[in-house]
Amino acid sequence: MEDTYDAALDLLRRLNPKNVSKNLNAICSLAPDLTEDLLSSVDQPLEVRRCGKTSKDYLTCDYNRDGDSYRSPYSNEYDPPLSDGTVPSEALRKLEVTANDAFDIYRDLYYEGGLSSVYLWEMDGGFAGVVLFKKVSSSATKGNGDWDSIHVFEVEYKGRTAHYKLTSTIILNVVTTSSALGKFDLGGNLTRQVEQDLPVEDELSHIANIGRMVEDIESKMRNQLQEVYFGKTKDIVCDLRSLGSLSTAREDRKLQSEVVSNLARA
Amino acid sequence: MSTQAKIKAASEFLSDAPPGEVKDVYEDIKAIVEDDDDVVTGLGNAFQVYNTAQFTTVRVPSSSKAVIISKYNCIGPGKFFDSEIGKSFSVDYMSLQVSDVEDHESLSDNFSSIAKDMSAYVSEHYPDPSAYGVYPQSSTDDVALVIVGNKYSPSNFWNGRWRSSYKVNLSSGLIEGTIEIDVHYYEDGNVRLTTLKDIKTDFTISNIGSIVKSIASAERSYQEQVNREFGGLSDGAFKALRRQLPVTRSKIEWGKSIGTYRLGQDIGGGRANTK
Repeated sequence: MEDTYDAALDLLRRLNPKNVSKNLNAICSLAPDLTEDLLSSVDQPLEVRRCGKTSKDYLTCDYNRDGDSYRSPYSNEYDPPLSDGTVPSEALRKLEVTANDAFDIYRDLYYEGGLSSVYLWEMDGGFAGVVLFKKVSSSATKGNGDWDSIHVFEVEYKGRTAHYKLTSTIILNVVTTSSALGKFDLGGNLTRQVEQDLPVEDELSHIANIGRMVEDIESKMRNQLQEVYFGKTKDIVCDLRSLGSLSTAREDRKLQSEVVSNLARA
Repeated sequence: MSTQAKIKAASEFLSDAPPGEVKDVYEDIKAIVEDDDDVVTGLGNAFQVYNTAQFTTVRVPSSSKAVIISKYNCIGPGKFFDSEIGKSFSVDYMSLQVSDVEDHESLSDNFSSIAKDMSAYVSEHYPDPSAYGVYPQSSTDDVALVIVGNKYSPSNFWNGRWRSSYKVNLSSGLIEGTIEIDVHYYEDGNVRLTTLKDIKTDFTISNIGSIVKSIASAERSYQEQVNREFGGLSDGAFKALRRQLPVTRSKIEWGKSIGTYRLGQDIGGGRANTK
């Protein structure tokens, strides 16, 4: 079983990240025993649902799912309705509402649109949760883009501090089509983990602490995707085909090393 | 799931394998289906489709040339030719073993000179391991030109492939083809670039040497366009998704003051939580 699960993860890491949901479905059909484990450990782009009570949109993932129903962060109710669906305690729900408000501001400042949702759940000695963001952009000149952020965190109470563990995944896809460029399809996903001990004054401190950690890691990962990953991808294309002539480049390098060794001797 | 459906799903995985990683994908598939013989042997067709589409190269005994297998030089089930080395041969799509090597018609003088130009062009712009092919088609005026450039670095978690293919008509002076780039970078992540560009250009009919020159020019233009696209991502597509910093140009003041953002928003009119 271990081998099949590892093979599934390896396969998903090799195939085009934009097809992760389709591939995940296919793997679960081929090996149904893996379904529960894969659904809870593989990040997929987030889906959107409308809250029946408030008519506002919210994001869905494995963390606000119970059976085939999803819980709205606004009404705290399941759709389709469940008589005994898992909901956070009253105190945790209060924190969840505040967290949704706080990250809504974050969403507006960084995403200037898009959607955000936060879900919390009980955990021994603390609590856990997930912060979700989704942004879709489409422009005639800048192409179409899809961004999904999934930040799963655990908070462990330690008196006047708390230990925070954050696992963040970004799923990103950019497609540009034009007559000069043809079709250009660039996508990726990245997962990072960070742990920190931070001071806690009251319940709201957790939101500030998690907020800062999410902001830090998301900004770092955004830059990494842009600079390292997409930058590296561009370098690889340059390795596939050289714009300049390879023999001229070899001659230049030879000349350069001769100059350097002459300088060293001088 | 029926065996047929399983083979279809597994075949789709194989067709999406990144350059240089088809063996890894194949091993993963085998593990997932727990070595189901029917599914594994059913992948034979998928390997055929994959290898001919990806311009996989094989070595024919008595030649040092890397020979491409593609639809342009296919003369029967598993049978291919290469006029530059004057041979035809059979290939096993899964093992890539070459057999049944026979003599085949060599290139005409015209096509020979194109092949020389191609060889020089490819060695000047496509580092090893790269390959090219010049394949006369059914009509004497038609020739297909194929280039494949590979770069494999699995220990650094990346692989890439460039494929160009062109149909050249000597009497009309037209060149039509496509360029496809496929790059996979997977160090602590999974990034994939796939591109597809249609090329339509022409050459001077009286000058055979202008064919490869025309192709070189089209490929250079395209590569410059791709570089420009990469350069524009930061201010274009990326910024449209998530800014590097808020308009305030500084990070968020978390804590109790997060409420003040909301107040400012209500006065200025914030952007609602919408799709």
